[in-house]
Amino acid sequence: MSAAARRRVCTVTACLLTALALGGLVWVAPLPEPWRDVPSDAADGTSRPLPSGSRHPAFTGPRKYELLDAWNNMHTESGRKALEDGMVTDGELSEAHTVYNECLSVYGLQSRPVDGGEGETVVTVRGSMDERERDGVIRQCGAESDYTTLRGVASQGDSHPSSRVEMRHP
Amino acid sequence: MNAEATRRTGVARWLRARWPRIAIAAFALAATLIEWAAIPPVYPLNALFSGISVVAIILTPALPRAASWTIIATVVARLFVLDLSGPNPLWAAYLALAIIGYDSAIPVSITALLTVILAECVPVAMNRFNALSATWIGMVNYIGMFTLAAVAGMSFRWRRQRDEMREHAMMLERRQWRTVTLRRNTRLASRIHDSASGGLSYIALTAQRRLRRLPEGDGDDGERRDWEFVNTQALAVLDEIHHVIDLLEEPGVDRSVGSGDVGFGDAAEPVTPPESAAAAAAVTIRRAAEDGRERLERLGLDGSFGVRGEPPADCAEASVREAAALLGEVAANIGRHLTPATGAYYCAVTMGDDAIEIMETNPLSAPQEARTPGVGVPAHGSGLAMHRRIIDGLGGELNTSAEDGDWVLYARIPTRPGNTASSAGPVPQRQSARRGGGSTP
Repeated sequence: MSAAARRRVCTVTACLLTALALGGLVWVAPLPEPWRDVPSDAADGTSRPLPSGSRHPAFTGPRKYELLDAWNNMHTESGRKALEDGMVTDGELSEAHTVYNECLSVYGLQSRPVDGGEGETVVTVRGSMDERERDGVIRQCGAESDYTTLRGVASQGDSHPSSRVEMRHP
Repeated sequence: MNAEATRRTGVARWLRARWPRIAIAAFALAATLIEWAAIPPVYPLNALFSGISVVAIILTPALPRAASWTIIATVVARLFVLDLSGPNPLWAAYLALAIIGYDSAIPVSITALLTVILAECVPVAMNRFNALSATWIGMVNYIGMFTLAAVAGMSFRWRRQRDEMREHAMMLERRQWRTVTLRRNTRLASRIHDSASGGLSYIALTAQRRLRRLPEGDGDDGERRDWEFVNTQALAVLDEIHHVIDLLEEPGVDRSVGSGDVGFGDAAEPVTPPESAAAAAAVTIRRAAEDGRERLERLGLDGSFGVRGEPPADCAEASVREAAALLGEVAANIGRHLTPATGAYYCAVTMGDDAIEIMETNPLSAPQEARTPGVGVPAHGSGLAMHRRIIDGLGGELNTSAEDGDWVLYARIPTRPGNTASSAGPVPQRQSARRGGGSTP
């Protein structure tokens, strides 16, 4: 291939890639960015649970009011779905933990359950937040992902002691 | 099939030339992908920039500068996305700075370095959570790492430039040496032409004039034969001198058409089969021996040139040429230094599979036997020395000795130079004394 032909191919390829990148940018920019307001919500204590509405499961048993309270405090549909049957399985808790970790990862944190799920370790992977801001983010992510609520329901259902959080800093 | 093989060879050559870039890019890519798998990017924009960064890392061996600047652009862009999930952009940033340091000029490398440093300093200044470090003192470590990556790239570039300059200087020196050699060869060719060609031509013309003047008759047959011999020899030497002049003027071209090379390879002919090459080599050596014997017979010297054996099919042309030339030199030395009264000479040539051996012996002239002034031919004194150098270069040996009134010459010329088999028994090298005005080895 001659030098001129090679240059032409490179130019065309570069233009195509740039166009792809710009197109991707335009397509991706309007997509939602969850967990954006976690630090500010944590700072001013904002909580946006899903609207209660009239439809809720008919909880029964001695814990029905706790379950109803938990239902009303859910922030996600998946959290409500997990609570529908009145109990939280390990799989449902694990899914909630994944969402919780997603929220934490936006702020450079990662959580890992310890002691068979009774507690968790939160590690700072990247970034620089002070301790107060970090605690607020952990609390808000736990609330907005419904992990804290579901973990509470799960632990009360198994008569486990209340979960503890251990902070670990690099 | 050929096009496919050529393309594969081209790809292999391309990969071999760029393997360090590919290795470093593979390392950065592996680190990036592992981190992506562990903590996938959450925000779509972050995922897009991370993906572009991965593609750019893959393209760095092929498009180093464009890919590196793309990586730097994604690193800066991700700072504005405010999402710390996804792969750590520092791996790609180090790779980009090193490549720009290697492939670009110093000002461009410094610009890239400052771009990355300043971009990473902005979140620190604004006290954002996505800053590399909460404090300025913590940023010193990262600034040092960025600088190290850029300087590493620049140092490899300086090393490459230094190697290129050295190679360029060597090439200039080689060219200069070639020019000097060519000039020297031209001077030599001119000197040889002016000094030798004229004289030899005169000798040949004189012989031819004498031949024309000689009446036809039985009584003059001996004189006629002598003048014919002089004419033939003068023309043969003139031809050889012209050949030497051609070699000096065009070292790469061997237009050997002299009698010594008859039947032994012409550039225009196709490759000779092995059997004919061996036969041609044998013919060349036998002819050189016969020429020597004839010359010495005309000079009234008694003796014999015995040739035995056959050279191998893959005998080197240089070995055959040197053996024939050495036989000519031996014959010329015998003619210069031996007299009929002193005795007879004996020369044996053995052509073996590994080597061509030449052994010559003759009685030495007594020191008091002086030649009549004006009779005989002065010797240059370095004929055998030059042949010894050539034979040493072929991996053989040339030894001479003068003991107990006998002159002995032994030469061993490998048939495959550079691939010498077991040598003959060690022959002690003894420098011969000057023999009655003869040449020194």
